[in-house]
Amino acid sequence: MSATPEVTEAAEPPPAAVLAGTVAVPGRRWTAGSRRGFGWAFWVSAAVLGLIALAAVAPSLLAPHDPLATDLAAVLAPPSAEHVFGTDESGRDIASRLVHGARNAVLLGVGATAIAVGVGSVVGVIAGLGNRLLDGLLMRLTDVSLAFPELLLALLIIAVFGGGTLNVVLAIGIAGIPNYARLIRGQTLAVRRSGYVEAARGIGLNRRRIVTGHVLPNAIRPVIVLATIGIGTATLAGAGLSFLGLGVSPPTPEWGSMLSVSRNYLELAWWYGAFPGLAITALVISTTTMGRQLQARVEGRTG
Amino acid sequence: MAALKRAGGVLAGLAIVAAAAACGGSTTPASEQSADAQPVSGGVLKVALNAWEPTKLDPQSQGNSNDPLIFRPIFDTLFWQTEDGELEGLLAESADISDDGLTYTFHLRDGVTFHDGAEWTAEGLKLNFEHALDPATQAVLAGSYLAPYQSSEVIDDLTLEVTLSEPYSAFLSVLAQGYLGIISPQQLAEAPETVAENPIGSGPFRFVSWTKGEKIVYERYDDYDWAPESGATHTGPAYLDGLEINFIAEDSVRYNALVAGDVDLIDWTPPQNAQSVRDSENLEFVKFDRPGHPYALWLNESNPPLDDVLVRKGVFAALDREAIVETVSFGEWEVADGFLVPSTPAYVENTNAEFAYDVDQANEFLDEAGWTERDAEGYRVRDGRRLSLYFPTLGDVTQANQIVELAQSQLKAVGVEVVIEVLSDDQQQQIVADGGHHLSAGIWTTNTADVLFIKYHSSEITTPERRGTNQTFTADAELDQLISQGRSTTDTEERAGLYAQAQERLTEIVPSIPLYYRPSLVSYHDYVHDIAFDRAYGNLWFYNTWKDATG
Repeated sequence: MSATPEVTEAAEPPPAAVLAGTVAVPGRRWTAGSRRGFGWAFWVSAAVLGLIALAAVAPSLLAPHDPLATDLAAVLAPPSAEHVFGTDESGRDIASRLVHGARNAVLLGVGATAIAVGVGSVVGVIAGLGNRLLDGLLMRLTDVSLAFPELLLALLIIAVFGGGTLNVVLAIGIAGIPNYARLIRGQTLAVRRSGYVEAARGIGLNRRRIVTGHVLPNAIRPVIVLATIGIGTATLAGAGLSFLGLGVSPPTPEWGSMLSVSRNYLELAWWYGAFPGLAITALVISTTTMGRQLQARVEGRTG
Repeated sequence: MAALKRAGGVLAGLAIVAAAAACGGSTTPASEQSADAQPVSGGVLKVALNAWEPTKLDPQSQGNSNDPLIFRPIFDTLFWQTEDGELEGLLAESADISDDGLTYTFHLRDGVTFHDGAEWTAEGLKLNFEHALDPATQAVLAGSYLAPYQSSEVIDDLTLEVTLSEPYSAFLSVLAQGYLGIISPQQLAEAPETVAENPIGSGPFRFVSWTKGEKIVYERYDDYDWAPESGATHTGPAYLDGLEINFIAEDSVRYNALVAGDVDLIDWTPPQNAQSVRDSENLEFVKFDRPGHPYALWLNESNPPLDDVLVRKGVFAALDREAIVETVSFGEWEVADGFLVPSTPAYVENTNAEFAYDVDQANEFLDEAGWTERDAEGYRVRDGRRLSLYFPTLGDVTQANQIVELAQSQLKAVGVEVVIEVLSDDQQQQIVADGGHHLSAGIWTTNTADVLFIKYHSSEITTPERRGTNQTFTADAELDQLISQGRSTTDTEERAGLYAQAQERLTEIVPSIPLYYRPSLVSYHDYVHDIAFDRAYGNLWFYNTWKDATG
């Protein structure tokens, strides 16, 4: 686990932009810029994510066609000016389906991660601040859940509650809780023993103030990094479940299920599988790259 | 890139040398072999089917589309269906039917010996009927096919007299289907429960092993000497040393297993790959009709708005079935033109003509039904309710789902919404059994027009006590009477007349939308010869098949 260093507020350098702006010596400034700034990979990732976000928010702006409109005269048509990414087995425009599928992918990634981080944080903080018994109980529970691979846990939840988008989000979210709970607990323990918490306690702040004002904000920092990467993995898990036919119902465009159906037509239409696959890959790589870069900054080193 | 190309050239060169070496000497290349090449014995034929594997190897207990193919090698039936639809004796030589249609006297073939050495006698046939109807067998299909069976009496060693509770015209025909395979009398008498894991019959191949989820292995039965005359190219034992039937769920994997030579033959060729098989130099492709009811969308009449025949007619006319079937099957399936497959007895041509794709006609039907208003999304509304149809389905039935997706898109044009929901097997089955759905899809393969009774008779509607086969919840008195009479009439011509009327009646009440015939789509390597089919079900039959030396 790379996200376990005991980061404390005292050790944290000011953000690069502030630093760069305040340093007077030109030579220093450039050094600082290249050491602390974001690389090109960050900006490419940001652009990809921006495009996906735009597609998720306003798909009709980007989609050239109706994603559900079938055209039996153009079944499995190769990429052309009319259909830039070609068409699927029912003559629907693949590019438009990818654009409209973005919302589901983002919702899945962000939604599942939000559930995992939200519940995980609560569990982690309670364990970190609670007494030995409570901590032991929560962490043993976490250990047991961690014994199952995340995807298996998600499949188990779906087997019980059934498929569908909402259930897939819940399943992946719940499956992600133990990781975050464990991380937050570690951070909470570290922050709890730090000087400034001691100081806060020393000046007589009440327990609640200390938790909400000092412990939580500082313990959550590395989680932001992990969560960014988590969005990518959650999207991938969601696409995987849809690939298995457990996600959305047809004909709703969904990247994983598009990929799944496309494999039957691999011999006839390479574009059908290639573009949904690229979309998933781009989203996952972008969030991962972004997460790594953020991590590097939080930890004070370049990625 | 250049380097890659060169490497490719070298590889191709090597392949040619290897092929020449393999062919070197005695045998001629497969492509030059004439059609009348002499069959040779030997070799194991490796076959791949889709995922529909039996749950038990007791043929009478099973009911899936692959089962007749899987059980035919091990089990013979009483009769064999000939090319012109007649029945020829197999384990029975003949049967006499009494004038009232209630008593059947079976005269059995002499000299048949089962794989375990058991002799074939009238007592053995009696045991088989009783086994199929024993609740412990859980014979979903064979049980219902034999439902009118009441009792039987052994007249002598090779004569059995069977009494039915009601006249049943389909009786002898269903006895030709692989589900009614005859099991060793000795096994049934001593340990009927062992049939599930170790099936013993009298067929041209005997069972060797079954690796669940993977394959069933067979070997030739050397004493076999009672092949059906009209179907067989030879007498005596089969040509192949053995058979290996593999279950490969994934379409693309099954197809590639054939192309790569891992198997010699596949059924369920993915329609999208059929053209590549035809174009291939060393692969062959053949289709064979399955009789019965075409693949259809079942319209649940018990669930409004489908209780209104005008809505059902509107939905039917709104569908461009030609285009749907052409698209989904890449032109490999034929559009159904009626409620029976043409190879079924009593089939009447072109009964669906009045439901040709006609959007104006569809709109008229739906307007007439009172669904005249439209909501913001363009769907029809009546009394504040949207005209919406619910299709609960499974995730892995790609083609069924694609059909309904295309139907959804076409029905939208006439203001009818279709809601598709992917569910787990249990959830979907429960909803369909309870009638909570509007649309379901399926096919029923059998060699008699009695399939109309199975699919549309009101007595076949599922009740709390009994799971029925009528998925449309049709309960039409006139239709009920026609198909009941068709079932009980022994006169062939009279029966054909009744079934013609029944098919006519179906076009008036429209309980389903027949879509296409689903033939066996078989692809195989050209070193495999004499592919044959059992017409009672349209399944592959391996008795004639042989592999030449290049395989």
